[in-house]
Amino acid sequence: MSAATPSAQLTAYAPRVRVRRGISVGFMVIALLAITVSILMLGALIVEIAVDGAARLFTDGGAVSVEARDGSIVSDLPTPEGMGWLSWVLPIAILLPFVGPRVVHSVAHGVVHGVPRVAERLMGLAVVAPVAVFLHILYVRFESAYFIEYAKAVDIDGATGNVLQLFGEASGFQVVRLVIMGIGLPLALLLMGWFWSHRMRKPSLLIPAILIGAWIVYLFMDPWFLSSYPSRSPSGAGIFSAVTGTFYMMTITAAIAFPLGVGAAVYLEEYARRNWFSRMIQVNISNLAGVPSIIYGLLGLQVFVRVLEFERSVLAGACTMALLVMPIIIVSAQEALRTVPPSMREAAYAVGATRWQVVRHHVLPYAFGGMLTGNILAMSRAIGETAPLIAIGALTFIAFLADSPTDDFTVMPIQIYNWVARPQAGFHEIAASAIIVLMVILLLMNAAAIIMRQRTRTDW
Amino acid sequence: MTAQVPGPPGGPAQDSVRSLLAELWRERLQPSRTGSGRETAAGRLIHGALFLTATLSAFVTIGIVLVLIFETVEFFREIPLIDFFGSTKWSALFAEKQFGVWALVWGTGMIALIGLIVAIPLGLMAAVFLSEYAPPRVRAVVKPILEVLAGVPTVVFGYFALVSVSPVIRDIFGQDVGIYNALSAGIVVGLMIVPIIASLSEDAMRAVPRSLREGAYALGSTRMEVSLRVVVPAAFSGVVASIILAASRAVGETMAVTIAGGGNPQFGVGPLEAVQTMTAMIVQLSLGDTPTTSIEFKVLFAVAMTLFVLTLAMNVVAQWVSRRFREEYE
Repeated sequence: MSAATPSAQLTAYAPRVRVRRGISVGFMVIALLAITVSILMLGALIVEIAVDGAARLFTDGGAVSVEARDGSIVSDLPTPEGMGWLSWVLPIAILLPFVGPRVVHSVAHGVVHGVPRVAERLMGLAVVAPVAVFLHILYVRFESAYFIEYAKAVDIDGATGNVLQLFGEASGFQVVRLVIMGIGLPLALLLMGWFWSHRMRKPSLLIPAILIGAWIVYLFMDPWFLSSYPSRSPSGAGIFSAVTGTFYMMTITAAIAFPLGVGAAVYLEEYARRNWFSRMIQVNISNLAGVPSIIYGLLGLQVFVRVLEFERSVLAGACTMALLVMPIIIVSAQEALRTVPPSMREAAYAVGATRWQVVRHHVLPYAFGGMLTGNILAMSRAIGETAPLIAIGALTFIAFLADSPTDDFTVMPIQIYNWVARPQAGFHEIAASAIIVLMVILLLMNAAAIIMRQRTRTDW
Repeated sequence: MTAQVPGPPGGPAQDSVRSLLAELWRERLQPSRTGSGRETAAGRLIHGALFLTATLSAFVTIGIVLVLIFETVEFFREIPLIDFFGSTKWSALFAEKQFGVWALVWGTGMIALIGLIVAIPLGLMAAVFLSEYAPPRVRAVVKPILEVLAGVPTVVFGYFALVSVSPVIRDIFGQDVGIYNALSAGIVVGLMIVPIIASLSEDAMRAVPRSLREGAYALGSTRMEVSLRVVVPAAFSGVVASIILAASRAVGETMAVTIAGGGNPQFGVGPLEAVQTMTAMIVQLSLGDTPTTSIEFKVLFAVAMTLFVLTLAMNVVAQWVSRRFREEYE
């Protein structure tokens, strides 16, 4: 029994429990809304950038060139050999552990129970595919970092500026577009067929429309803004270091905060006696949630930056952020644990399970969806927090990528603040562009949380 | 479960029996706790690890208090208490330094006040609408949108204040109003805390039992009368608590007021002038490369201490209000 999957346990204990509803119209409206809004925002991003500098929008040929500090363009850089295929293998390798078992499990489940759920589960791929594409883009951006390092190595004078023309029409981005169409079109047809067969014919027609829209948006999207480093001139500035810094920090933050927060919630809900101590912890957690974020920044400055000597690094930022979001994670995980009915625990105890076995095999699997939702919401809070990172001294002008957790870093909101705080209107415009990118990420995270909450909700 | 239909009198009673049982389970019956019972050595190890994660939050609080107290004490060794709390002049970055915290409290208070003036009507109207008027389907869509709105980064609101709100204010009040002013910052802070008031008040209003509403309807009340004279008074403690919490959030708000409020710590200036809040001052001093032994670095913590005590007091008051004045039904 212990090796069984959560759903097998569910069917074993309470066959009626997991009521898997089809995708409701309400859910679909929200999902479509989220997608449409993201696309509109991307569209606004294009307009913003088109106004900002049409010259940056179009590129010619596949040549690579680097702007030297004296303004001259160095264009005879060699392209790295054999890096192209990695950019696809890597994202897939990263995603496979997450997607693979789920698809296999769903197929097996469908076969065992004779329910045609495969199509429904494959829709998970529709969510995952954009992530793969994004990772690919990120990887391509890392290649641009390679060029800058190369330019430094061959001693091109001060070539820490922007890589001007990295991939032309004939290379990387063409491939991305092709694959979007390659993944996107079959998925669109799949989705369309699914909606069509479930008597939602009008919505089903929206899907190809959305996909084509997204494709057109991508066709015109300016890669340079996402791929450039901060610069003294608005037209050359980009948010590459900020975006990667944000993702770097978020990963570490989640890795720290999620286990600690869930651990605390499990202790408070499943282990602790109801005595003065657990009440104190509980009151303390709700008070911590109300502490202004800048004060966490000062805590991080003294404890992580100065006492533990992490310096102004990604690690210091991530630790500070983890403390900041932990109350949110604890509270939402507690709520998730409370939805697990006592009868589940009683049944497990009745067959002789130890307390940890009860928690690990019965309580956690049920509550996990809710916990994950809380975690996503907490991360979406952390991704927009600026003040604590300013307090610990994250820098605003980072023209390189962090190699290790002890490197200097910057994140998107700090970059935005830096641009907004400047008087020139040009910087305000790119601040707006960066805000759009940030908001798209945030909306996607929130939409994912809302969808997950609806999908994992069970009625007892 | 039986909330939709008035139903037989057994329904609500059953619910309360069920919740009583759940409570009983938590309080008394859950298999034995520490020490006794079936727990292996590894299980006890896990127990200990989980205990440590739970106590971490207590250490965070202790850490915050210690860090703040340590540097604050250092600060007051150099600057007497009376210069900090008894003066209204602030000039930390000039040669002749003055540390009258009231100049910062003035800015903080004004922006929070403007924010509340904007947010209370909007938030309460949204809460009443969601709880009393909105059909479930509308509510199911609007509530998540409110949550998303609550998650918008404050730096985005700051941009909004500077680029969109401030020019409008200048159009209304004349171009001699500065681009950085307290009013624009206050308005966006208000927008920022609307979701808090709306969401928490709505929770309180939905907790008001159905029988109260039905009683009022039976007497021939309109929906408006039920909302404003029955539901809102019944949920009053929750509403007040939500407003205090929102005020505490407005006081602790940082980036929007830093971007749009200007950097002018002056006591007694009007809402159309630039002001500086406590949080904005902390950001300003953090951005500069302040040596850790300097008085500017220490005053950072003295101000943060003031801010911490202020917001903590507000949160505690909010919790106390919602407990003390809660109307108990059933």
